[in-house]
Amino acid sequence: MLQRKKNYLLPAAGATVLVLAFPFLANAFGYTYAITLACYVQLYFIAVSGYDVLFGYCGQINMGLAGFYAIGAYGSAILNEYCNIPIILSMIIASVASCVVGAILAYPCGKLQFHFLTLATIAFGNIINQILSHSPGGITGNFNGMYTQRPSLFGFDMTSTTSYYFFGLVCVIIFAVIKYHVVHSKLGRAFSAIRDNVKAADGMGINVRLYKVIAFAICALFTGFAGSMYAHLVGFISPDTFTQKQSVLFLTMLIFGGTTSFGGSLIGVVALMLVTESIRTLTGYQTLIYGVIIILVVILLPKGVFGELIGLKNRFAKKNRKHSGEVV
Amino acid sequence: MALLEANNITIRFGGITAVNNASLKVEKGSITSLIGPNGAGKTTMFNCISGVYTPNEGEILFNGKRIDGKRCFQICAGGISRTYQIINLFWKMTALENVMVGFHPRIKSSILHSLLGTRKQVQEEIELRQRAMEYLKFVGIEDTWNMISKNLSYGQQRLLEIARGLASEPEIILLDEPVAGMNTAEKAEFNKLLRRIVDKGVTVLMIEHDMNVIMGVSDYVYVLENGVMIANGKPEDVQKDPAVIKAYLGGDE
Repeated sequence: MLQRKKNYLLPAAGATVLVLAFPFLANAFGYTYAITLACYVQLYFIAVSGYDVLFGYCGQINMGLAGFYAIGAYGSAILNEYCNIPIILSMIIASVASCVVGAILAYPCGKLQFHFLTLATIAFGNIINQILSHSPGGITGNFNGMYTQRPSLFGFDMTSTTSYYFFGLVCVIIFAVIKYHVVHSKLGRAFSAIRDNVKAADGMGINVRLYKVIAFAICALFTGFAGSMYAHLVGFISPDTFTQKQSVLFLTMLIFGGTTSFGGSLIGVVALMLVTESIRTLTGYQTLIYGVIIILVVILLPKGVFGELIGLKNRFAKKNRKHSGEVV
Repeated sequence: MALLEANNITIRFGGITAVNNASLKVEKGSITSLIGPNGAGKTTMFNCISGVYTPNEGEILFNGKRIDGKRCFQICAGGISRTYQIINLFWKMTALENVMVGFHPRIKSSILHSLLGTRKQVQEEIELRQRAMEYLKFVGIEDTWNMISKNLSYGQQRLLEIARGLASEPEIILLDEPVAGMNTAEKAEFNKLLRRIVDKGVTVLMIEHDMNVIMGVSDYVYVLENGVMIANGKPEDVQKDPAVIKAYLGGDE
């Protein structure tokens, strides 16, 4: 046990140093855009982690994630713009609002399965998109979009991307800890039970409907917060961002990396960010490329990149044990 | 007062009457068996008691309180646990995790505690792991704790279902054909396990086809045929009942 800990200590320390030093290195070498991309990775990681709770653990699909992403983004922007609520607070309120909407959506949707659930959530995403572009009184700026500001916390200004990067890092840690607690508690066990066998979960005293609602709400909370981080990172939001394409991107990230892990979400987000950046010029074909990636991953790497890597590692360890003649 | 009482239960599916005016009583601390030919309505009766179906007519009393019409998870939390005829485990989870799901209705930490991961909740999780291990030991499959339930042998899966059922600390456990698919040695082991379950203070109601198990351990036997209770009594009396012999072996009209 001690041996194992020692083996992990060095890479963990190295990764921490790299993450902390990253913006300074990027600045020093003149790749300032890399810091913005890293901020994207952070907020996508939060959204995908939330989706992992719903899709990976609870086995429920949600193709309307862009809707929750939009509630977080527009909610925070509007609260700050019209109600003068400080930005950090507005982000929290907006993500809680997204969480409540998620629960309300999940209550009727909890009875649906498979493609019916997919269709219902797609419809939700599109309804939100319609509201954004035809809002009452033009509160969202309709097709023109909205300009947003960077937050400042306790006089600590976050106008530079570097400081926003560290703010994002703190958020990532907070949400990762929440996800860890969810997964390693009765909640996570109940979610997995529902995914594996709804009938038996019901028979074992789990209120299936309630726990589906909770899973949806957690997913909506994470996605909503990611949306509000997005709004204040880019400084401008418009309905174009919050389309079906965004929901598909989240799903592709999660499936590509692999479900039910932190590493899978991270690999998926980073890999898909790189893909998205490299095909930025092929605007019309992005969804097509995501679709091809999903199909290839499902056929070739059913556990996702991270899941397959872990599987390979375990097989290797087994082989080594056999060679050294140890009893397994 | 009997622990579990089902009075004049009738269930219809469309035009078919699966269970017709059937009644049964389970005394506390006993092993009661429900037998009958295939398609007699035994599992339907179980599904009624555990809340999968709501009976069209009749009432089910548990500790003197009506439970018919309640949902499955409420009935489980109320103290009635069950296993399934077709094994219904959580296939991607390990044996230990399967038992830990069984604890669900008895976990004290609230959802908020779970979200925040308070010290109390973490402590409870550690205790749950130990207790889950004890339940695996109780049914005799503690070696398999880290195995994915799908990879267990058939007999082990049956035992794991019982361990998971016992984890919710029920007053009564409903076993639906618990020895189906077990070999002779496993069956002998199972008879001992049944006694230990009763010694633990858990009442047993089971459906079974294996006459050796039924006649060896049951305190009371109910016989169901075509949805009608045709006989009940001590095992040795039921064995001699002409109606039962006719139902099982056929006979002249």
